[in-house]
Amino acid sequence: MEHKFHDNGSVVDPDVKTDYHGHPNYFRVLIYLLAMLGISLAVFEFHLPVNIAITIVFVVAFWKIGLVVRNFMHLRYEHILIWVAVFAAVFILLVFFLGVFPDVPMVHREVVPKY
Amino acid sequence: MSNNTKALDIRQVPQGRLAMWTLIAGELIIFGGLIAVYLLNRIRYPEWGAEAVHTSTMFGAINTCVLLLSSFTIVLAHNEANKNNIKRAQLYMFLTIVGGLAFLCIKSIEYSREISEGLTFTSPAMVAKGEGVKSLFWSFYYIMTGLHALHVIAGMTTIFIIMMQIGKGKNIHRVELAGMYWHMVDLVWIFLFPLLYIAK
Amino acid sequence: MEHGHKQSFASKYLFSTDHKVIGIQYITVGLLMAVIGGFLAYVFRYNLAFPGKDIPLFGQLLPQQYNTFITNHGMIMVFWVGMPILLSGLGNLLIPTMVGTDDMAFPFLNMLSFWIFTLSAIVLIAAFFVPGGAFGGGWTMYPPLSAGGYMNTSPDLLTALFSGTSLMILAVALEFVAMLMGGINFLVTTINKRAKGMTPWRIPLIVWFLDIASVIFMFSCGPLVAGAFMLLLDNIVGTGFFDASRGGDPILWQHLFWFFGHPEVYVLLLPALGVLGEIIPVFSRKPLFAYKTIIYLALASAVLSVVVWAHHQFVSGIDPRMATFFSVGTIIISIPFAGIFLAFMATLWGGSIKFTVPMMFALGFVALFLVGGLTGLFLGSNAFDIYAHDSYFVVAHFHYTLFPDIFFGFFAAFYFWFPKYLGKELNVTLGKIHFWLTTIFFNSTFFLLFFNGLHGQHRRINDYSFFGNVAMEPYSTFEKVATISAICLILSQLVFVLNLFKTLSSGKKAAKNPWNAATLEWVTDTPPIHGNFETFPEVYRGPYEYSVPDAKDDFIPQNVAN
Repeated sequence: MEHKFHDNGSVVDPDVKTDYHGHPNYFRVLIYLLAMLGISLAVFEFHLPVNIAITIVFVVAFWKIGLVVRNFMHLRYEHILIWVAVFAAVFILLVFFLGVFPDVPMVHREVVPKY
Repeated sequence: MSNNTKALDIRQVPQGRLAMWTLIAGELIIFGGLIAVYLLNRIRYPEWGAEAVHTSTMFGAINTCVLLLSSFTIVLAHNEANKNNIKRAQLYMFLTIVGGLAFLCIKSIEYSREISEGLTFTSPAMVAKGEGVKSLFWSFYYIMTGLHALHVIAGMTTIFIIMMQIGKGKNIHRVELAGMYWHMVDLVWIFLFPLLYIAK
Repeated sequence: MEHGHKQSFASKYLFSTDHKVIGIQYITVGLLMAVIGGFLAYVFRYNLAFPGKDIPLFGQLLPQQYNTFITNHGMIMVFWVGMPILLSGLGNLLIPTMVGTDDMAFPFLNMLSFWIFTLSAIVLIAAFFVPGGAFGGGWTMYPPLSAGGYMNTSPDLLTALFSGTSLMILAVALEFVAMLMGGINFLVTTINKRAKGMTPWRIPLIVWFLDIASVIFMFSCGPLVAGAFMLLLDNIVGTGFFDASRGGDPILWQHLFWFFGHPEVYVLLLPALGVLGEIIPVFSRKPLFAYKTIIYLALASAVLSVVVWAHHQFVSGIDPRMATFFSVGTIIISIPFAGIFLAFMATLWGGSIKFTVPMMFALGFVALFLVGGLTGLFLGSNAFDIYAHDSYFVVAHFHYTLFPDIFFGFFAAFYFWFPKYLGKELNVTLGKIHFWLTTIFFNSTFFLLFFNGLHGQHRRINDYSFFGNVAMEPYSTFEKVATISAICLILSQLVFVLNLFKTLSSGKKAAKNPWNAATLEWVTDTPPIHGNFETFPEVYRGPYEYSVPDAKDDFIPQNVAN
């Protein structure tokens, strides 16, 4: 019996065993991540003004996400199309959030039952 | 390096990785949808802050730490699998599974503390205690952390299966794919942590 | 034709991982569900025209059953007929053969996707037989009707889990899982398994459109999956995410639903437009006009499709400023589609048009969709929508878009590709009879309903004899005409069934390339072998090289070198 293999234009075999991307220094990334966690806990401990605290905490969270995606998931070595897919996902969530925003948080409290 | 590889042909990206990225984009939107819905409600009801006080920042921080470490071990497993050090890759995968189990244990201790305080999924307990609070904070808390915990279990199962497979010398490239899924689980938690445990 | 090993019946036809078998399986299940959906339509249409009468083959229709039937008719026709036939069915059949490869990227996942889909169909139908019956609060499942407050409620968790509402939510969730698996497969196959030389601008239009549809589906269904999970918990454990009496917000569900629900319309429309894009050049013997522009327009419509959703909610009490925004978005999105249709018209212009059966269905699609599209412009502007909302005008509008889309699109594809994938020639006369009967009865069913709607008839009322002021003449006659035509429309599909079985039992063997088309699927044997190609083709040119001067025939297949 004869099998057709994936020599049909795919540049690589799908069962490729080595990968094509580089490897960052994972340990350094881990240290950064733990330091960031420390920052968000410190913000919580020192009782900064709420707005500043929230901003710092979420900036840190996004930074951490960026570190994980770029280094651990190797997005920084990835094809542009994959960047597009990931950012399209974020963009669509943003559209959803902004589209619904006037109908949930901005509803006048008088028409919302008080609890 | 990175400029150079971005010009690579999309067909050089292995099928598994491509599919995994697509799956991750889809999963991000599912979780993101849930988080967006929570955020919208959270902005609408500032008084939920009073209930978020009952979540334990310490447990949350320990769990974040555990997940970050397990993300680190799975990426090392991928690194070792690349160099064909199967035994060490399996060791790191095992450590990742231990991390996942630790996460779930801490989470269940946390759940039981909260439930014994009367903070349950449906949360009418707050009303019963005479505090007159009837909010969805705890419903959101349990649905988000619960859905995340389900993903942790799924990720652990996947890693376990692949750990067994690479022992037989099969599917070594899948270590990376399972790792990507695990990182996605980690990402979601990184965002849930400030959302539920710090913003009070 | 070498089958490596002998396959048992089950592994060849049931649990096959061959994309062609899976595509046919999807279409078969879709058509079976269409029979159920059609029967439901027949029952409630009969009840509307002749309220209180015994319905042949059914009996008396209770008001609650009427609600259940319209709900499930909508659900089935969109998710269990349109999606499997147009997206999964055509996608599975066409993508690997058109990009010139042996199978999908993940054949096992593909099989799993089909069986999860079948399971979801079974769950949906099972809901009819649980105590309390299937869900009847409209296919959009708006809370509070769906949030455990009013229908099929039960204090006990297990009964609540097996109530009609929960089963419908579960069925939808399973269907999404199946379609997501399929979508990943389509994208990876197109991106990664293309034939040598198949550059992005040489991919046939329908493959582009199926992939864009998969992307739209994948990127818009996420919030609804989360929302369905929440709604399910509202039903079975008593949280209150969408129930205002328990601290939730029903408008939020409407947003979650329509954030998916409107892009879903384009998920259904794009594959059918892709079918047109393949058929019209072949039977005009002209290259497709503005191929690249069409793809850019489709990408633009994909982006725009996520900023139009709230036009379904103009009367739900959303922010009026946002209503303006969504009105504008809705009207803008008609521009890319108008562009695509104009490109198809320009392809016809000056071509040597052959009125074969697939071409007739394709042109019928264009003509009928025009009516649906134009009334869509009316409904998109919120001033008019507030008047027409939930009336028969809306019903007629979306049947004028979705019926041509799902059925004309499918029939065009069916008559075009059937000879290829099943290897038999269909009967042309029966095909033409089928086309004319379908077109005539479709129009007589739905056109008059526009007037009923403008007169103020609401779509969710089962017996108009209680509402004399909107059920006067001629509107009650219109109802009767619509019902009789709908029955004739359903009966005229028997011509299609007859043609199908006649061809399968005693049709002539089809030629390799009966339509002289240039894309890759016509290069292989008829029907394509397991693995599609003896040797993998290499691609040298675009997919629409018709009427080429100095060519041997008047067209050049994609795999022919200069």
